[in-house]
Amino acid sequence: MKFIEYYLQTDSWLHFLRELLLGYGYFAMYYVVVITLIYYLIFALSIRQTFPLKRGIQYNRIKKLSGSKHLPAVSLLVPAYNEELTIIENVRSLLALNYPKYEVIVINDGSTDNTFQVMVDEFKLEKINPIVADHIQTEKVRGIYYNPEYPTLYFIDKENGGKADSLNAGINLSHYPLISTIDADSLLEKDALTRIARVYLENPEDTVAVGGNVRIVNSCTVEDGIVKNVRFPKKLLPALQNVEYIKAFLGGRIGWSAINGLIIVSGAFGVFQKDKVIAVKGYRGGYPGEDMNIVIKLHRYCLENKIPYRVAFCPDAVCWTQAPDTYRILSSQRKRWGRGNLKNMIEEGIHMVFRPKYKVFGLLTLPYNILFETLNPYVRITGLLAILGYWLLNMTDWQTLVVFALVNFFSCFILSLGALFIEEAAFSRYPRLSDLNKMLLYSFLMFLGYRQLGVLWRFLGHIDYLRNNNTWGTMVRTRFNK
Amino acid sequence: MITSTNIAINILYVLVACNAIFMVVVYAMKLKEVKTRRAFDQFQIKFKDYLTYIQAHLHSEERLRLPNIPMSQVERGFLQDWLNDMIESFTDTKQRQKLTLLCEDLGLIEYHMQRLGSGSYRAKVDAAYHLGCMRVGEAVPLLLKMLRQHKHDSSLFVIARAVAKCARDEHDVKQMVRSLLKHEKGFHDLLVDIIQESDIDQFALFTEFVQEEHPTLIMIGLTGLKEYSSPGVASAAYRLIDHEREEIQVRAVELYLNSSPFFPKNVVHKLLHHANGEIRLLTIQALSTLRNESFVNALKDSLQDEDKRVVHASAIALINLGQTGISALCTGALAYRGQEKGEWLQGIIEEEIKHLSTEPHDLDKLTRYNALLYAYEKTLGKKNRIYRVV
Amino acid sequence: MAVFIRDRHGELTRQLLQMTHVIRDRHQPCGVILAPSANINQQTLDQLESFVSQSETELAAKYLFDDHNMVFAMILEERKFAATHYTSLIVKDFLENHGLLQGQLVVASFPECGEPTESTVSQLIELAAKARGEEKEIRLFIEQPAHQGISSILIVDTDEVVREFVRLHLELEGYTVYEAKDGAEALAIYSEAVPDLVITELNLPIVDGYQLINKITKASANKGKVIVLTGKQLADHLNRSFELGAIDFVTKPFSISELQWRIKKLGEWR
Repeated sequence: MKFIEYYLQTDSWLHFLRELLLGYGYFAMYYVVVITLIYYLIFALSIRQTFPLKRGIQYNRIKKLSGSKHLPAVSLLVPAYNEELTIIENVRSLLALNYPKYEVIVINDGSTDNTFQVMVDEFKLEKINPIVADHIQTEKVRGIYYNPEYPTLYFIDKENGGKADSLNAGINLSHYPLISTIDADSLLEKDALTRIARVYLENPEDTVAVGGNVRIVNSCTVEDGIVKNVRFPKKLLPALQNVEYIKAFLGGRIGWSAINGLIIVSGAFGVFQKDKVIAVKGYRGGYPGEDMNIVIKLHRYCLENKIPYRVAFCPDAVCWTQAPDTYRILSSQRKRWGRGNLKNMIEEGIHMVFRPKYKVFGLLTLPYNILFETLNPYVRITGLLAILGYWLLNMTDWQTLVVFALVNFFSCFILSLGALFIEEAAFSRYPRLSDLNKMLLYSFLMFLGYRQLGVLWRFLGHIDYLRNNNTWGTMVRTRFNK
Repeated sequence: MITSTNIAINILYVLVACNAIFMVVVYAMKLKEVKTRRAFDQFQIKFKDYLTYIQAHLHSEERLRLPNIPMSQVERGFLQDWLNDMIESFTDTKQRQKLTLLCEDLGLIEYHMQRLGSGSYRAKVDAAYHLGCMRVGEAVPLLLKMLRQHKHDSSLFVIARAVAKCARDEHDVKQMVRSLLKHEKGFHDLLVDIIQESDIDQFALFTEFVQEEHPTLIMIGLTGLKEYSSPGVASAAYRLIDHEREEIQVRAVELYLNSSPFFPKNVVHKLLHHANGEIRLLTIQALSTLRNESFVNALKDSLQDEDKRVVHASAIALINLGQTGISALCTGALAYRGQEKGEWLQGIIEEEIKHLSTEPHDLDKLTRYNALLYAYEKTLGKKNRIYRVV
Repeated sequence: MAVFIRDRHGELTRQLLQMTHVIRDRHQPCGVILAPSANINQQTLDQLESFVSQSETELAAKYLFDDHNMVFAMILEERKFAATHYTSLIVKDFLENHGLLQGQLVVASFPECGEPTESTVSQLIELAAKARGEEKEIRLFIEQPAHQGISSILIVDTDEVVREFVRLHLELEGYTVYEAKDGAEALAIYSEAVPDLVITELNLPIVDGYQLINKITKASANKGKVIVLTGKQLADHLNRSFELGAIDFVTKPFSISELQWRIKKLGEWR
């Protein structure tokens, strides 16, 4: 070993390699410092918003508001692709929301299973010929179905065209000025719409979009479309995703929305002004990540046309979703996200990044997303290689590595703690002390493999993008726990 | 490298300390939360009889008495929340007053008044909310003062709602509305919802707002007046039909159509030729519910409208009018024969025939079915014969 | 004044009647509290008296214990229903703390809760004797006029405060009241108990208010069995409820006396 080392040191290219690695080390350090600072800034903003948010929730009587005549009418758009197992239960649950005026538009996106027949049979739907606007071009609509006994339910049957295309078809039929997108596999809390509407009503002119909070329903008991017992997921992968979601939604999105730099409104549950969505030509089809895409386009549209606007986040409006609990499904979901993210950055982000015209969105949100989300895998992977290099070239010892690893760990862990702080301070949805223990445990476990896998998945997603792989991957539906 | 490692070690110490602090705080909050929940369960058992006592004697003449067992501060808070729920659930002012009186005897009003006057911001908002629930008129001046300096966020509306609930007269509410006007963000719907919580003469207030200059006030007035139908409302709304703002036009037309006892021909003509499709649609829908044959020609003309929704609504309105309307519709559709629109209109008629044929037991629908079928066959009929149901 | 009654059948009834009549003759209200209890001796009775008079300084009352029925009784002069009820809270507190209470307390006040006739009084005592072993609650007694048409009511609401409140007041009016917290539970109770009237919220999980109205209207020969009591304010909701067969529509916040009045009218009309 010593001999080889001596031999290598004498070589001149080795000197160059050392310099390179050292330079990279500095770059990586600055990168990490900047990313951490941005993280801290956003977290600080989130935490600062916690108590104002809590006041808004605590001092508004949501139950009373949910009967008010003055809440805006909302069209719920529910795209469904091969959802025969869960669609009926979910539609029934959506028809029974505590909200005065809304319609549910279910869009069957050319399912290959029995989704269509199940819907038509269950609700005794008949074909009608309503007036459908042609705001946005979509795949061919085969028929629109309705039953006067369920006056708020419409069912669109169309050729397969993807989720975005389904949403566009829903927009064309929708009768109300606000639209809300909801995943067919998730469960909306009864008062979630009222909660979002409250946020909207406080500033209806500027609010172009409001996002809801997504929580993970695995291991919770669901009865009659209502989450009865909130429990921390028992399985490993959902548990990890749970802490990940809490961190992203409470720690991240609250802060981003405070400076109007929110880049995504979750596809699982969000509310939009219809005319603005139409103005940006609706959802972009053919690619995952349409939920981020629409928000980027809304930012762009409003900033370019100097329309005052805000994209708000409403953490108390909760939508429960099933998290993938197998490695295969989770990896395919994450690869899809990685692919969609890259596409959005190349298609939209690149035009707006670092341009003062696009304000916070162009100067902070997009740089953050491109440098630290999209390009994250590359920095991580090269970083790993560099560390390997340092070690091989004897440029460092294990103590130093451990110290830096610990700094990295604790600086990240404090963010998880911050998210839990917000959760406990404002929501406290997990009632038991043991739930908190678990959340802490899994926040720690995230560092041992899960985060690294996340990086890998994103990287593989990018490869998929380059190979022009445009499939949806696998998602297996299961019924909610009874 | 030595120095940076040293720095890193120092940073590590700081980070570990911060982590520890955060962790302690989070646990402390969780434990407090668990404790509070347990205390609440105990409160419900311990004070069950007392709460039943309050519920049972809300109507009686006697003043409600304080709990017979001593209360902790936390329990007082729970009782406050429970009383708030009670006050909000029922409308009898007498009952409300009794509950408020109890709140006063419990010292809750004094407590919150004091916090409103001199507490931290957080305490002030909390006090504002509770004073609002308890309808404490004396709190209004302080609340209004707070409102005037407040920035535009969620708490602003919490305070505004508190003012509305506490309002002693219209003047209080007007002041509240005016101090919100400086945040011009189109939240008039929320404001109407807030105003409707007050115990004042809302009709007078909304009527006054309709006559104001400020567009937001007008919007509030028009929205608020929707619940009242009187000729006065109709004429007030009529005056605003030509307002320069489109949103006001739409709401004014809507209100006018809802409240006017009759529609003069010239007004209908004007509305049906309005540039805004929404207004034309509203008008057709109003005519449709009226079922007055004198509007047959107006409805027939609207079949030429460029907005499909208006055409559809006109067609349905004509069908609902019976014999005359139906034959007008069929001749109207005939004019477009061969065009896409003609096909479409015919489709509407056929669908209606099909729909009506399924309900032969309803005499009114049966008559319409026969009339429609007759007119249809006479003008457009070319397909297979559909039989009359008698 | 604490009186100890020993081992004589009918003595308590006699005493109660006599005392209530004396007070009635003075045109004053008279409160009665009865409780099934363990054996209370004279000393405990005195303790109770001094305990109650600590917070009820102006109270003139008689304390009796009937060891035949094992019933504790208290007669309060010049105490209306509300005040009697309040005193019963204190009494209950004492009895429970001393481990003496063995069932439901029965509370009434004359003439508010009826005329103190022999039958009413013995009804009261019987109630108290029967209440032994029941949950330790306070039961309010009101002599009921016979209701026309409607005697049992099902209240369906997710909100416990509303349910409890409506239940309490309807029970005080003499109706038998069932509670359900959602539509499915309501249907189950309905098919079993077949109440004469259903009061329902529209916002209910899975089987919502409309479906409930629809099913109940279809299931029963007699139309108009459902009153809607809802937080939904829109005219659409009202129209749809009536279309499906609801007989009345009350929006929250509501007035309980108005609701009671509507139920009464509905019963007369039937």
